Amino acid sequence: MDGSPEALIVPVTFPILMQASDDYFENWIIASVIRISRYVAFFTSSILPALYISTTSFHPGMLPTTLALSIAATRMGVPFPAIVEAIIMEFVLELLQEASIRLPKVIGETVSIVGGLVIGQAAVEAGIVSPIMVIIIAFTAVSSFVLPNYSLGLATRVIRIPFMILAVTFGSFGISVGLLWLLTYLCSLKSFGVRYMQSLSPYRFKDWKDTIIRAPVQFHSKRPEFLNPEDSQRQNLGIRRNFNEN
Amino acid sequence: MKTERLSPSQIMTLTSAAIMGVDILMVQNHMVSIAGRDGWIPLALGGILAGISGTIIYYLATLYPDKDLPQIMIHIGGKFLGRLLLIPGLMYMLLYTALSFRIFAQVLKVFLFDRTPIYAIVILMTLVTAYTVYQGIYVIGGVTYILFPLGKIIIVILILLSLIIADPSHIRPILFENTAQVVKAIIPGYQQYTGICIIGYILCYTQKDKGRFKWYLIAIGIAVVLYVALTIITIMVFSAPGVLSLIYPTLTLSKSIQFPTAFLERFESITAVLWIGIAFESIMMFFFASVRNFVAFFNVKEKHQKYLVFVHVPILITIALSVKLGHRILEIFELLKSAHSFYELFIFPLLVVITLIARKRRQSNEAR
Amino acid sequence: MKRASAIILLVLLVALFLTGCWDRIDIESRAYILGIAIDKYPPHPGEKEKNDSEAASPQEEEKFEKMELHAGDRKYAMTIQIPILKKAQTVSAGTGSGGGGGEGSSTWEITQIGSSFISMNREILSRTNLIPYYEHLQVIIISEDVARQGIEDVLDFFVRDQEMRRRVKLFVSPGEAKSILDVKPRTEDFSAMYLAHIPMNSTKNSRMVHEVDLGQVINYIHQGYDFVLPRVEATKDEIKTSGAAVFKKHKMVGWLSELEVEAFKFIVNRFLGGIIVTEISEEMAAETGENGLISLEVLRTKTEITPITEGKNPSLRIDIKVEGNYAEEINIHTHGRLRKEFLIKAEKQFAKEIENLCKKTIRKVQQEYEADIFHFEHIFRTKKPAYWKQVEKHWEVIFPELEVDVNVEVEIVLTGIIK
Repeated sequence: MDGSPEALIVPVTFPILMQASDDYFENWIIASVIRISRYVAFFTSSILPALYISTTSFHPGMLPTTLALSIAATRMGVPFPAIVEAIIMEFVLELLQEASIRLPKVIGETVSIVGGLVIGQAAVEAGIVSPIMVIIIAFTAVSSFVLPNYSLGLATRVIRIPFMILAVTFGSFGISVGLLWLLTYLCSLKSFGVRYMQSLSPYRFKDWKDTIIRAPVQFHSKRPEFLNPEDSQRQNLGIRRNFNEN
Repeated sequence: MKTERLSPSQIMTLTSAAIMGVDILMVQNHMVSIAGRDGWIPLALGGILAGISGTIIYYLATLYPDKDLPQIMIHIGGKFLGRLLLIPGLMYMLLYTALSFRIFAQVLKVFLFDRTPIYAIVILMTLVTAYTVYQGIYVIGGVTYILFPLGKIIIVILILLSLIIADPSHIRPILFENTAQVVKAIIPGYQQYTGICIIGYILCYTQKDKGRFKWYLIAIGIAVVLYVALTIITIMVFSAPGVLSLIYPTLTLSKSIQFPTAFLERFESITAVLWIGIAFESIMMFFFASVRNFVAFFNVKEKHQKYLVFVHVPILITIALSVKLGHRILEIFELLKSAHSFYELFIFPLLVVITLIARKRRQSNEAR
Repeated sequence: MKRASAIILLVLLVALFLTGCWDRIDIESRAYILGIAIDKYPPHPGEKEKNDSEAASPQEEEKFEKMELHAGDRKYAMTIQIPILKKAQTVSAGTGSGGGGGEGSSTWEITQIGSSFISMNREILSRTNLIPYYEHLQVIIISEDVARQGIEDVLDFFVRDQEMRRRVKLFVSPGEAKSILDVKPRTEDFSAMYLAHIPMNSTKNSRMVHEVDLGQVINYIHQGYDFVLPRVEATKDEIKTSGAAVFKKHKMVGWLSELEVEAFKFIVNRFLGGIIVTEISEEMAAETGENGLISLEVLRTKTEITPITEGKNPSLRIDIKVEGNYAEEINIHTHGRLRKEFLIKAEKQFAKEIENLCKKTIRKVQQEYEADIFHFEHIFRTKKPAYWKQVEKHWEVIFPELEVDVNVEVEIVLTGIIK
């Protein structure tokens, strides 16, 4: 864009947002595991609090008996319902995230200590939130940092609240409806004429070498199919040749 | 840039998803109530019949590559007669969609939500389905592509886990002094595969490819295999008199699975939730078909199709909510299906014959 | 148009959500019912007043337990067990200040007396601040008195209600069923959970009936089959399950002892592991000395039942193949001298023991209880359908007279690590 020193890559698709440049420097098994964990993180980051709310306040029957009892025991004496608790913690988390971005590194650490230790520990001891909710929100926050694309992380932060509202009204049915809506939305998006969910739906197994997993480097000789490239062969950077010669 | 088309494998997901809708909860009860412990045999035979009838519909659709079923009817029958012919199909699709919503909401209410009013579930579901249908067939195709494997894997896991508690002797003796009922149950068995005519609505959007028909047969095959396997395993677990006493055997089956580890101990809640996705896929297709029917009936322009989706929402909600009497709804549903099976078995072959005769005549006229 | 419809949608959605939260109940405000005990009321016919000397004011308590009825008599006393969560927290999490309530109970048993179970369930709502929740129900204990009257009526609510799961385990107690929930087990906080885990040991102990859950029982009742349920007894702080209650149709008719359960499990091919002890035969005694006992640790059994319809009367042949280890010998000493011939004789001796046990049990069940708990009926029905059609009507008469031939083959696989 004008005046900006950065370049934009188009068209962008959902799987591309899950790729990070480090993937290609790692062994393919490690890179694949990391990449799968990113997809999982996308889901936990957007729906984990909603899942917690729906299972605890609608379907405790889903949990194993001992787990249900121990969650119930930790929530004894907490004055708020799970949704209020979640929104309080979510709000605190957003504040902490924004605060630590703008501050210099030295003070940023203080913020994280205040946030993590003081608010987390003290809120639990004061009985405002239950310890399990702190775990859930912390897990959610960590998941949103896993996503390589910061904007995608922001998007998951935004859809978290509607999912929580759906979950508190309709339980797991609400979450399913929300997911269906999200899926429809993602499938209907187009970026420069290319479907956003391309190569996940409809499947193009040839492109899966670099979608959910990152296949070994010798499989990467072809360009992604969904772009309809005129030359389907990738530029030969010597990697493949060396690989074959050795 | 190529124009967007559905890939041949999407025919498979779309039709297969349409066939296995809300029926998947009740198919065993219905079959066992007619044919007893042999209920799975007429279901399999009905599946073969569905394959034949599906082939006829497929052939009809290939005769008019740019038109979908309602348009074909109007094309053959002319403006007035064609519309007259279309009316039963139009009512069927509309009622089927609405009743599916209603049954879906009712099951959810019974199993998950005690006090949530039924209108809330119906409204929310109609809105989100309408949103998907509003986006058009390509988005429906995309969504189904992701939901399809999830739903089917859950059914397969359900069947596999049930094997632990299944007692194979419950389906024996096979076909003993029961042949009359089995033959009688073939047509009801055929009626369980409700979505085969969906092919007529989507074929005009797919790539012209030789593999299309193969994928379509695979779709019916998947549905038949899963239905029959589910019915057999349910009879094995509950025995025929047991299945008769259950309204929704599939959900009860997932409730009775014994699985020792702590994590999957609660399998039934997972199925109850993922079943929502399975039902959505099916209802989405019927909703779409109903919208297409209206497009052809009122001769609406293609670009205004999405407004018809909005028109559908209040109609569907009203029909779904105006049906009363909890269990009677299942009877109405079966009645509707049998009415439509007549339509499928007789009208569509008739249309094929008419088309072929007309073409032959035209050819001979031209030759002359 | 587009904007207008979007606004309408939005209004609809907002209206939906603002009125929402119909089913939301916080996890801690549910009463997780872990076990249910069903007793007969009044406990002993004729004795109207219950003399409970332990309770502080028996009259007052009884007033709460009884409820007004629409119709019917106060026939059943249902006791539910719910965990008391506050104390569970101080035990498990350990974060609470101080030691909590000390020696108090970790569960609460509420008894309600009435005619129908759903109404008793709702009546309990008037006595607690929590909402009863049945999805975590583990066990249902039925007292013998109720079981003898028939359990179909008792179980109907538990099968019909969608909150119930079909994996709830059923037990029959010879005494008061409530007393089993009152037990305070030492390794578990809740006696219902403790009891629910015991049947899992039935793969190692042959004297306990294999796991029987609500779903299975209701299947048997639907098919009109007879069945058994495990028996449970309790002292003040111990629970024991062994033996079984025999049900004809859905009414209890008698008990099977521990050893009879062993035979039962052999016949229905559910014998997954256990010990058989037998005396040595005279022939063997000549070699080793008298009064010796040898033990077989059963590893694997396979039972096949063949119906025989030729001839005048129907009969059955039961072939049981047992594989096991020579596990122990008492009062005989073969160390270093355990020969093949001896083991073959031992095998025969074990087979004889099992055969006798099975025959005795079958005879008892046939003649005393006349209940087809082995499901011989099912074997005829599935394997000889044409024949079954003829005898279906008179099965009640045929079953007690049915000739059953038992053949047992025992194979000793290992003798431990010594010869």
